[in-house]
Amino acid sequence: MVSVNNPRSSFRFLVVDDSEFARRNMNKILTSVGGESAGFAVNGREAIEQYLKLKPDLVIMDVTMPEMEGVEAVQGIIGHDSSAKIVMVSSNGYQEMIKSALDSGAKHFLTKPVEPKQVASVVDFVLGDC
Amino acid sequence: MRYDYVQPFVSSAQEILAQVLSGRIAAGRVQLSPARSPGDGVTAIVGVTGDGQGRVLFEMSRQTALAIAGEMNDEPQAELGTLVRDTLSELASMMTGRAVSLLNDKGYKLRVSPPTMVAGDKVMVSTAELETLTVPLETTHGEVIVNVAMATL
Repeated sequence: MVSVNNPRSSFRFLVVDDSEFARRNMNKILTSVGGESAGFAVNGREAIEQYLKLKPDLVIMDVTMPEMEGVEAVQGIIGHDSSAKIVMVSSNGYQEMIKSALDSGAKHFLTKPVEPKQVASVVDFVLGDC
Repeated sequence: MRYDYVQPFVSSAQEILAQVLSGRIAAGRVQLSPARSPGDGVTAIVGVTGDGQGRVLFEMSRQTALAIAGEMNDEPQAELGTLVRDTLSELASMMTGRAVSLLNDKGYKLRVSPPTMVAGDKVMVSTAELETLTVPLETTHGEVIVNVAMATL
């Protein structure tokens, strides 16, 4: 299902999602577009800790998670590193939620289910490869 | 129950299933059901709050649940383990999330709860004093029944 052959310079990514299925799926997609997993987190609090420890090139962050939600985690990460490149993903894609995500400092927003080609395009845009 | 609350849940479920599964997704007839809905196999329950309060159920047989999770993970699934439940929970979240997004962009204020997964052949979900609409969606892996009970504030 995941097959996008688009050579680009390698990048390290951190996937943050409380769903094992979503983490595995995003991992497969990002690996197929030239990424290398730096690690994962299952809530916003872990995401901040992992970001500071792993310093990934790209963070894919779910919006709705237990303990600390995605928007708060993005603000936390941006507070430490204003150049952090974070893409938010959610099953909910209404305008108010997208605005809230982008206002928090995220560079882009994807609605689930994510398509590999769409992810590849967003990775290029956010990492500035094109 | 207002039909404009219900239709987005059915059309969104159909669209999402068509995106994550191969094959055509055919919708059956809408039926008005009693408020008590007998579960069959595996049920994902999503609560809705805000302008409309109620819940959406996605019901399927155990065999259908395993086959859908298998296709979504690109590997066969033999048991209703953590990954299968998590996959179906994420699927339910995507189906309701798209519906709520459509409604919220029209001016409604709705929120959905994280899905709860229930497995068992004799599950009964009671929604007192709410009428229930059900629509069967036929996939290549079997039927997924969308069951919506919503009260308008």
